[in-house]
Amino acid sequence: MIEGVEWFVRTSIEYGTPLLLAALGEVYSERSGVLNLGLEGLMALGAAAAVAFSIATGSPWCGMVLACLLAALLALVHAIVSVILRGNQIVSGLALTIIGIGLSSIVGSNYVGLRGNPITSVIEIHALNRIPVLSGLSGLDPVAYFTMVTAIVLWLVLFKTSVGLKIRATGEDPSVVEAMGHSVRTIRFLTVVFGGAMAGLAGSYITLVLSPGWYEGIVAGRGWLALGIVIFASWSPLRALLVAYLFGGLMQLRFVLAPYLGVGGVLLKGLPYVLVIVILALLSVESMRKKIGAPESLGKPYPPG
Amino acid sequence: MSILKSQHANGGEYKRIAVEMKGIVKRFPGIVANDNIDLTVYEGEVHGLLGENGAGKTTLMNILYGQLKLDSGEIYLWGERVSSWSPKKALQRGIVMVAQHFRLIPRLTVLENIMLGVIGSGKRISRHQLSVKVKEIEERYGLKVNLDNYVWQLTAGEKQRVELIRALVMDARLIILDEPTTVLTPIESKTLFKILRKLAGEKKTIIFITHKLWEALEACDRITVLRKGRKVGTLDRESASQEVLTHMMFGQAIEDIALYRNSHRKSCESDKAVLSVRDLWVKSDKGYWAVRGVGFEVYRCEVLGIVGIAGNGQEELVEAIVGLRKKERGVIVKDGLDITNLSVRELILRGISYVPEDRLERGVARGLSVAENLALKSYWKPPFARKHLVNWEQIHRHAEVLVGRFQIKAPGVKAPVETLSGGNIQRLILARELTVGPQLLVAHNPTFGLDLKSTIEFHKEILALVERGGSVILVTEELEEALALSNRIAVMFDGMMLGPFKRDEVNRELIGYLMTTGRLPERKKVKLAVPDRSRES
Amino acid sequence: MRELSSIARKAVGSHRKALSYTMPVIATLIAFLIYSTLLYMSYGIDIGKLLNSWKDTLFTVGGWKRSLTRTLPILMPAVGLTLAFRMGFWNIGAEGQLLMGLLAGSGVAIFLAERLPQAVALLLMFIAAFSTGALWALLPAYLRGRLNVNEVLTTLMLNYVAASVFDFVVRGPWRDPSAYGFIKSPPLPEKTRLDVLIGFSLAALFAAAVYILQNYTVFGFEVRVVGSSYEVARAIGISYIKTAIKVMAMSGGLAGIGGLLISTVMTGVLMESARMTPGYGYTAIIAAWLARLNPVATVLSSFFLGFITDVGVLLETVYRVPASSIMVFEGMLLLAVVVSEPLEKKLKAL
Repeated sequence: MIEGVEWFVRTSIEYGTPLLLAALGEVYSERSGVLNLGLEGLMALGAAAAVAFSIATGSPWCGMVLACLLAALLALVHAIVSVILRGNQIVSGLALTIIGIGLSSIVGSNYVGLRGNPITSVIEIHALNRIPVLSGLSGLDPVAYFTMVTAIVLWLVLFKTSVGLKIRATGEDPSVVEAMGHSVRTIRFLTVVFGGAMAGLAGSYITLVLSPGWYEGIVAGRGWLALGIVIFASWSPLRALLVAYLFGGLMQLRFVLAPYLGVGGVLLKGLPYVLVIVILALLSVESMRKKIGAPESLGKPYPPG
Repeated sequence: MSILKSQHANGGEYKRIAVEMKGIVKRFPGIVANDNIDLTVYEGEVHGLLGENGAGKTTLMNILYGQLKLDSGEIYLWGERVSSWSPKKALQRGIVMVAQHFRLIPRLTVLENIMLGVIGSGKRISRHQLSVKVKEIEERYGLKVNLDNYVWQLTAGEKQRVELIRALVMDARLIILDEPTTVLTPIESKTLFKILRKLAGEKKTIIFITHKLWEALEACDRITVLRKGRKVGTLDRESASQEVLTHMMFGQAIEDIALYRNSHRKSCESDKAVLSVRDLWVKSDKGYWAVRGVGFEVYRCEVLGIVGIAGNGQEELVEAIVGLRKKERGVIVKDGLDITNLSVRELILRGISYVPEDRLERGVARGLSVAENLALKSYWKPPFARKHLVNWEQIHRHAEVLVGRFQIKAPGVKAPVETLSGGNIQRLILARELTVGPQLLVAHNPTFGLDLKSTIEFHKEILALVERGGSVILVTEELEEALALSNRIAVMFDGMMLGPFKRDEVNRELIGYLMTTGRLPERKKVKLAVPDRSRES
Repeated sequence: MRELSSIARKAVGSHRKALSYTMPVIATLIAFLIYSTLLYMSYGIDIGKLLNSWKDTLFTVGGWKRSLTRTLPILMPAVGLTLAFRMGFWNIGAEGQLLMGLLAGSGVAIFLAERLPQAVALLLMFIAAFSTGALWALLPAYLRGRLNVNEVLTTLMLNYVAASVFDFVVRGPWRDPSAYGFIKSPPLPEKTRLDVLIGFSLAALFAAAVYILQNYTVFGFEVRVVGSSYEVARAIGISYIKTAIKVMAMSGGLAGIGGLLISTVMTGVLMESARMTPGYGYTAIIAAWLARLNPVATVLSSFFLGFITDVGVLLETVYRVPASSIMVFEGMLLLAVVVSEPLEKKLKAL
């Protein structure tokens, strides 16, 4: 029983990690006021590119980094369209998703069925190994730990540094920020590209750690889940960590319960998505919009018109 | 760096020139906002930039601050020529602008907002150093503020204080204030002027933009008057007077225009109230009571003016009357019918028209044409629509008529409404609201930001409406407007209504007192303006 | 340098109209160039082979019919989407609405149609498809109207929920036991099958109807008012939630019918959701945008996209290039539309 719980903790973190990575990037992007609906496509691209690059270079780490860069490059398009050309962010993000998924199938189809060069190394935290449930936190791959640390660092940057202050201010009222002498364009541009890189990282985690290997549709809507996670976490990196792991666990629930459900197990596939809707509805009833709420200028191009 | 000397009226003191703007020209499509303007401001003076709305004051200062690019001309700051200007560079040189719409972010704390400005000017400072500096400023100038408050918790006066503190933390040498007293009570304004004096004494240069004559006279050392984009002249305070400045601002002495002289005589006598509001309680967006137990009547053929400092419940009151806000308690009756819970559409059908405060957001729909906007309150009725189908010919024809009658300058009725200027948008809104045959027009700050000509046009229309038997509720922050047009005046203070009083029973001082304190002065007793019941048989 | 740029600006300004017509063509060409370059780099497919693969589609009746068949599930949702997007309601859920309509309508066909006369059967099928699609779209409308919940996520999430419900039904209660391991439902009876031309005429009729609705009715006017300014709509008494519900019911219903056309015109049977639709609901979004939210123009844009989808499938069968690769081309087209709006505004200013 305890082992089951430990296993559950561990897989929740593992499956939550790509969600978290994508969500962290999107938190920064949305905090600066830009909505990026292209996460699903960026993750898909990262996933396929990671396998391809890891095989080509012989190193999964190189694969991961290159996948990251490629996704950032694609996100650059969204940045140009939304920030510089001030086009419609929603449709641009959708276009990005479509392009990303298309690109991923072009890149990945040559590698279907191959295991690629997965990340197999693992870090043991001996101190935790003896504690019953918490030992699930030990023995994860390095990227998972990296993600945890990153979440904390990103939280600190967002709320305790002047860089984070600029980002948050831009998301609330870009005209004020501009009047204070900062460049809204630069800030938004950078956060969007950063978000793209994180999404690429998230995708590469799926194919290099979780799966490993690529097949069409491997991302399976996790990019969209990440968007929901950003909202539940009310745009805070630390809360995103908790929510992402929660969702990771939810996704695993299906496999836990599957043997008891037979065909009905397919229905559980939709569970995370139903949950997103339910929580969105609940959150709106309790709108504490003043402190916790979407950045005011989210989705609105600046300067307007 | 050249130091220019000049004789000052106070006796030959050498003063350094802080700002010199030469031959500034700025054009926008269809208008020359700044037409060859020269401006000289000395260090350590409070310099007033006076002119009516639309004269070009804000444009000029936006150019000085770097937010707008000039078309031609030169700018010298402390003797040095300025080129390729931007707000960032302006901040670095010590120029700070405190604008009409606060440049503050409500969700961040005071400290964070100040920090944002500081890092914008390129300085690096820790939170601790910042609070030390703020303390210094507090002691020196008496500007108090709590650094950990969120900006949304502050009043307008407090927000302005934050902006000033921020300017001083950023070591501003030149502070530009754009219409700072719009959001202040008379007492807060006086305090502000005292602070500005202190700052000027410490060799800070202040430029004070205003359209209010008496403020310029009270607060400024020298005054430059702009009219229609051109500079009319610059005066010392000693040489300036109300008459002289009025002449400079408008090109003629504004007498009591015949228009206003007779406005207090009602064209029809009526005891029956068109609208009757009783014990109205309305909540604000933030959840607290904005309107508290307000009750009053509006009669036919009258203008009821409701004045008060912004934020005392006027907005919520207006929204409640036109059906856009829930009434928690109370009853509104129109012509004997309880309309408290009717929908907006039903109120429109009962003859209630609305000229909103934020014209661009609520008054016109961007993305629709001029004709469509003119039809917004009548599109579902014949002849514009029959059985769910829209008759576009009728709509366009009607629009042409209205455009002609109200002189709305537009490239055609099918043109998108965004191509219209602010004044023309207001004319459009007026045209629409007045021609749906309203019995009651509710107008909220209808002439805000309009130039004099458009303002007078609007007033004419209101008086015409009242003469035809309609009624107007005029909610405004411009005391002069209310005093000129209203048959009765009421004051909103902290959600409660004082009055309404008959116009000839009050004057500006009394109303000002009511606006500031919320109660009557002990000595004077004023009758509430209710109809004389003794006439009832 | 300044003189050069002002000369350029004048040149562009005077040829404004010509440019706004040629821009979409240029955009399509650029997108095509990029796509074919990608194909060449990854699979060694040169332009010759690419154009070859179109020959069948372009020059045979069968090819045209195939494209037309694929057009239907794109066109129907797209028509509904023009209404939703005009209102400013971001309905990303056409895919789910389509699936649910497909499920309900096909269910009626498979299990009820045998005992009914053809006309009645068809009518019931279409009613079922429309109402199920409409219902599926109502929840996001209600949530947005009442609680101001962002509709992008809610409509999107419902797509995945719809897919899992669909798969459950097809794998479970409706699975055809005699299908030897293939996951599919019993086939639709012959009388419920429709010819592609009939389907197309139906879709075109709906397109015309929605066009009239949008531009000549009071309701259409209100939809546009809401779409241009929520505040103004409120101030003149238009109820957002009522409008949203009506619009989404129509959009979802039309998508549902589009879904039904997949089984009645194309496949004749229900399979797993991934095999029934390669993302028609998402392609419909592109079709609506390409058509600049004009329902009549969506007939053209949907056909274009239907044709492209068919090309994609051909590339897979003939050259082993994955069909979803064509999404790169589609996405770039959508991007071109997004970019053209602000660019046009800039052109106007010149």
